[in-house]
Amino acid sequence: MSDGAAKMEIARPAGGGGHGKFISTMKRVSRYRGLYLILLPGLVFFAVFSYGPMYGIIMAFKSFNMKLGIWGSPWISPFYENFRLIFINPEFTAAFGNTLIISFMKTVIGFPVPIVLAIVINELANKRFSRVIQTVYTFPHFLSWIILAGIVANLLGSDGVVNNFLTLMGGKPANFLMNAGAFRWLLVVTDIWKESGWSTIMYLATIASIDVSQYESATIDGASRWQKAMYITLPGLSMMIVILLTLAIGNSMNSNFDQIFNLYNPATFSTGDVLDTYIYRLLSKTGLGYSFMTAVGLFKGVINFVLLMSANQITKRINGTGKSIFY
Amino acid sequence: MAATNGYTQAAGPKPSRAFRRGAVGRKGADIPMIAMVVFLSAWALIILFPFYNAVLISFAPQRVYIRTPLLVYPIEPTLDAYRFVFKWPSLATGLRNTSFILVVGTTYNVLLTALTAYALTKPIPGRKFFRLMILFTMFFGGGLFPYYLFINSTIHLGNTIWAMILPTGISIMDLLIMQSYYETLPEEIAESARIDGAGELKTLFRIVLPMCKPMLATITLYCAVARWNEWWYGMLFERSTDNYPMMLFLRNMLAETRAVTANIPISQRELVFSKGIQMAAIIVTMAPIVCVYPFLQKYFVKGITLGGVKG
Repeated sequence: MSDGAAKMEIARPAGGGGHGKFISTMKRVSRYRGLYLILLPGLVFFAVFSYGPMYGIIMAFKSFNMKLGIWGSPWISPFYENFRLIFINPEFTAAFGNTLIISFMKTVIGFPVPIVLAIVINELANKRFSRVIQTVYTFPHFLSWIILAGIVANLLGSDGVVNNFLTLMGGKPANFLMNAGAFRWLLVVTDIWKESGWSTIMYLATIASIDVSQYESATIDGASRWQKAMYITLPGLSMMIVILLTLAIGNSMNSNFDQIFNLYNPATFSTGDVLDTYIYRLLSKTGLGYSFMTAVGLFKGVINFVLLMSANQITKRINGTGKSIFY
Repeated sequence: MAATNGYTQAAGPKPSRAFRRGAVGRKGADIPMIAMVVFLSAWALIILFPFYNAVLISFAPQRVYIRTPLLVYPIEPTLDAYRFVFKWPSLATGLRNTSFILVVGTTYNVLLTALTAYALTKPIPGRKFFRLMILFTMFFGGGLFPYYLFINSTIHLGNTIWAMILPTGISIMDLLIMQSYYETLPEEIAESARIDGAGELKTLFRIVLPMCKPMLATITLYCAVARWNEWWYGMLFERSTDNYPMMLFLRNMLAETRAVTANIPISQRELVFSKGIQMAAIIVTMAPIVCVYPFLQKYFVKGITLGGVKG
């Protein structure tokens, strides 16, 4: 297997690993030229569309002027001036806070739902019923938030069925969509509505990989259904739970743009505006300047990077194998 | 269930399934089981109810809607709203653009993903570097404004339909799923083709990809759904409504009913039931996914069982 190990190594520049090594690497490069050709379109894609825009990040350290271009614009002094400006901006700090609060609420309330659903579905004896249930639970995952927000607005609007029902019961109609206090709850609930079914499938797939003999011997020992769920199924899911929880926390800077953007309105900005929606709205509001906008984006990008990398490291450690779930 | 206790079932030919489901040692329908079925059904109804309500409203005439605050079954159903939606010129424009984006974009996605993933599973020098370079983009991006400026001013894709196609080439999740699928294939098959003198491209297209059909189906579906739902790049980069994708038209219509009724003479506007039209438009645009989904569900789910992490 020494050949295989050698193949895994990265090509070293000449001199680094000796002349012979360089020659053999070049030989391998030429042997695999067909594969490089296959890789090329993908590399070009990432170079252009992922790395290309990164050049613009330097705008965060400049006083950007459209006429002068990115390179020609003067550097700002001190270099962190744009970041100082974003931190004294009340809209930014509100959006930053909202991002954290909304992610926290979604994680605490929404996260356990698919675990419960998966455990209950797993207990079903009727296979056909189980399949129908899974279809119903998962299909909203594939619908756009534009469609779902339209349906939510129809349901909860002032003349929607929920308000009509409240009125009939003698209650007062409430405008849920314009209510800043209720908006975050609306996000949590609609997120569960759309995504909990899809995550349920993920847990079900993990349950399917639990060793069946554990259930068999537990049954022979007289374990109840509840005991089996608590002492076999749940522990079997624990690794997946911890990994997905870590990932959810790592993703807390990415509140769902599509969801919030399609559901919020000026009446709910105070509780619903998150970094992503704030950055988008800055695009059409040029008063604060492009450098400011870039700085907000970079700030979010860096925090997000740190969170995701930490989550990645932690999941690697939990896995025990030292393997990231990403690669 | 014919078995009355665990032992008789355990003695049967395939006991595992019954054990797994916890049905062993119990009568067919016990109280906890009924409670679970009721719970799961109630949950399903909660998920479905908003859609059902939208369907009812799309078929309801305005007078019925006003008269019956709690519409739970169809009353005097009418197709007026659907007639309006199908004559709505934006739907035709949007559908044309979305179809183009879907066909061209999905092909571009799947081809790019299949090629890149294949090369990255081979022991080519520099592979680690390429993998790392690609993964890095999943963790870090340049931010919205540099991106916007780059697409518009550097590569001048703004206001062309390509702005909605080219920037979303490879989803890293799909790439990783594809890589792990390639790694399950036996190496000997590609090796023997190579010995027979076939080039890498030929090996990939003639031998490897035909073996990956189920996985390709999964990735194609994921990409096609994303393309069908496209609106974000349209909103960012398209200045002319001629290029708008369907979902963006829908979004504007939902945000502003006036957009729907603008080209109707004021004297007739009262006759148009804007909420019904909005719901009909929603039903029409989600119909393809809802119709196809139950039949292709196993392909959709495959990505989860292979990739592990949500797509």
